[in-house]
Amino acid sequence: MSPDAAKIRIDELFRSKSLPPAPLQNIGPHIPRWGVINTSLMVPESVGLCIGPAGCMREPFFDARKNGNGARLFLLPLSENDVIMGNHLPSIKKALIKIAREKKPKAIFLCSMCVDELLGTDYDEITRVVESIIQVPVIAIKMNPVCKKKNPSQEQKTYSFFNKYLRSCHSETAINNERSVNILGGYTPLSEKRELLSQLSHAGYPVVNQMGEFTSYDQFKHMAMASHNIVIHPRGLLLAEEMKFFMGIPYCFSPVSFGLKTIGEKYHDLEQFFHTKFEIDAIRDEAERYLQENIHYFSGKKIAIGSGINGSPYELAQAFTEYGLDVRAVFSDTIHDYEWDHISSLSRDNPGLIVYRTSHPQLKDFPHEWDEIDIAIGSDAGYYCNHARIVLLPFEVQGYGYEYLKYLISEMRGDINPVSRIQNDDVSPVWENL
Amino acid sequence: MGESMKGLHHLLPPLASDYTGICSALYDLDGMIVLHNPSGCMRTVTDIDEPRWASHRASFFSSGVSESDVIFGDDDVFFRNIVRTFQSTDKKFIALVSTPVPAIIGMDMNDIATRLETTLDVPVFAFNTTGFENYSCGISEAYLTLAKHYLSSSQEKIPLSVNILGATPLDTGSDRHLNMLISLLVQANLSVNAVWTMGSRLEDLIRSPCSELNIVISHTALPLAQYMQKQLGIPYTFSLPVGMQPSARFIALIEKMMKGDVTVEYREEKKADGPELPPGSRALIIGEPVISYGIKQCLINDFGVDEVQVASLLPLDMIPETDRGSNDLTIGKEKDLENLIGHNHFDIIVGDPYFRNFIDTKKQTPFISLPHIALSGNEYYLSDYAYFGEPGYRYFCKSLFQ
Repeated sequence: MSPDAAKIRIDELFRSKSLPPAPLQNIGPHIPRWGVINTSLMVPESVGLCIGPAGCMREPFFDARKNGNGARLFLLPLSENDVIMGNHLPSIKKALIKIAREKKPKAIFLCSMCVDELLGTDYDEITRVVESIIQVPVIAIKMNPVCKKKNPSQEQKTYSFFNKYLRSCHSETAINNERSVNILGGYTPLSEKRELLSQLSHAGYPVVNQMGEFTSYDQFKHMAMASHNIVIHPRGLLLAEEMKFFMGIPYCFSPVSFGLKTIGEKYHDLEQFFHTKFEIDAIRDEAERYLQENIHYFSGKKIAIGSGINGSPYELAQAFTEYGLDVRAVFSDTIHDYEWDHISSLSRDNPGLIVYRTSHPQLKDFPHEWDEIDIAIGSDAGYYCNHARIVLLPFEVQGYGYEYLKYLISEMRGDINPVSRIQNDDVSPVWENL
Repeated sequence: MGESMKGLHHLLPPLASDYTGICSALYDLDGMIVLHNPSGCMRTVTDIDEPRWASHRASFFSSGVSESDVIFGDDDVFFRNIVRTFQSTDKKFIALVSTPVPAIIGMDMNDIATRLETTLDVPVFAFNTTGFENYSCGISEAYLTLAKHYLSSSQEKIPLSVNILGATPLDTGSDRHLNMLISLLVQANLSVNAVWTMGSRLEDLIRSPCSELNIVISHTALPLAQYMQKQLGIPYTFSLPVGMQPSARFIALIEKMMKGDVTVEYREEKKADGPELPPGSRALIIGEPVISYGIKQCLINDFGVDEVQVASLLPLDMIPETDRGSNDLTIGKEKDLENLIGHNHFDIIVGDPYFRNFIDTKKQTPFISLPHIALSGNEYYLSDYAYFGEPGYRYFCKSLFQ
């Protein structure tokens, strides 16, 4: 036996345009997720109601609890008979009214599961009826991994649930603030204070709306009045498309990057988007100096990069290859369109790089395959590379630009900040130290 | 047995599901477990309900079924993927576990199991779980399936040997607790033949008929115990050695049932010499039924509690009426638990840490934390608590009087 069925050289991947097929999937905590419920509860003063089989309710319950959203989540487990016969609809209506009266939320997310997707249950009618009774927006959302292979992706669809609500806010005012920007695609606000946000401020865009930053429902509504959208992760693309179509807000896709050259290109794209010139040269020079001072720590170290990072593993692999580092393995399950450019570069510059299908059932049977790896970046890479030092770059730490690169390097050194899962509250001092 | 709590949940999650129960029962047996699901159900098991995933990973896979697979009913893809994966492993059996998606379209796992068994020449078990029921029926079904397939009565008895039935992290917690029970049995000159199903290998389970007695430590194993009594003539007890005096009585009971010599130390009742609660004290225990009744005996005998009420999110009807108190009840809704705790006076409440949220902080009712993994997942799995034997007594003492 060998793990051959689960891996492919990067140059072959570029030629074949597909990852090795996984007949069954090995899914576990090594593949991080944020969850539909936590995404919807990013809207302040909202509550969620999950409906479906009891077995499907535990995941959102614990997801919400982990992110401190437990008090805003309700669950209504249904019986199999009720779901099949459609008898669950009155109890859902009753539950929504009860929650609205007791908790007085500003919005309710009604989250259905795979079974309703298959049965074609229409929740729009229920939400309309309940909205008219309780005078609070009720937004039907779906936690339906059964549709995960569809395009747009499940992650993008989840993120775009906000569109329906933002559209109604937009139609209330129909006025865009000409100098405000939304940052889409992140789950938490940018941790850094000096780079992208200050560049936007100097360029005349002092108001920046970020997911996860709002403390009130009214603040969240400001997103509907923004003049520009920046998308820093592909999960925000569908929402950006919809906001462009329905609200006329243009967007620039400028994903988180780690290569000096790529970061420069992304800033250039943003300059063109905003018709401005950023004062970024000094920051780039500082990052370049920081990189030169520190890169030798990783000389001779073998590196694996997983998809469980807040960015693209392929872009990061390309960046590290450009810095002269020895990237041996990438763990990945999906490839976003924009990542093919990085795969193309890697197939030229590091053709022997091996890409492993993260969820392939055979991977877990070969724990010694990665014994030589010294540094594993991302939870999935860390899961497989048993002897490596694990560097996490979790969703909870959202960075951008040169500062995010410096942050990663500091995490890899491990002497500025211990390598660990970092809570958002702990991040600021680290950023300030860099 | 498998019904879940009804109504709106806010403070409590539903109990772990039936498919989790199957996975938990089979986890340590070196089989290939295939959850027929889109992926989310498997994450619930690996991320929340199966704490063993962190220390040793079973061959545990998701079929990753998609909407189009379901609509077009292409079972052949599922079949081929299992064959392909199984051929690259070396597993003792295959378990096909259904989830809400196949259940809602009425997919029957038995047909695929039969085809797989013929093709691969390996035992294949089909479990038509739905995700609408709780873990109890999953574990019970898995146990019975294994017993019917593997156990035969033609095995010679090993004197003074016992099986432990009903051990899974979902009810028992970590193996630390199980080891406390095993150590108590070993001290009493008994040998543990097989543990259904934590730590024992499939081969150990197959030797279960050699034992003289089954010790049931969770309600999930009662159907198995009854089956083994009927088919193999092995008697069972579900009295648990929680605390000091109940442990001594437990050993005495076993001695009586086995007609053998147990260690002298345990023949005499071990007396708890710690403090007792004042007369008239009332306690409420909320948890897994068999463990809850074990704790009840400990509170009464070791701590002098006068009145103990047992409440459970699970049905209590498998416990004999003679053991049940007149006020004991199954909690049907979160609101019922709120009313029970809010409208009654209890001097002690024992249960999963999640039940703390129901206690009025002004009342300052002493709370003994006893995590129930099937409820609160792996969050408190490694927390410092005990219930079996003397360590259990010391833990209760510490929780009550320090």
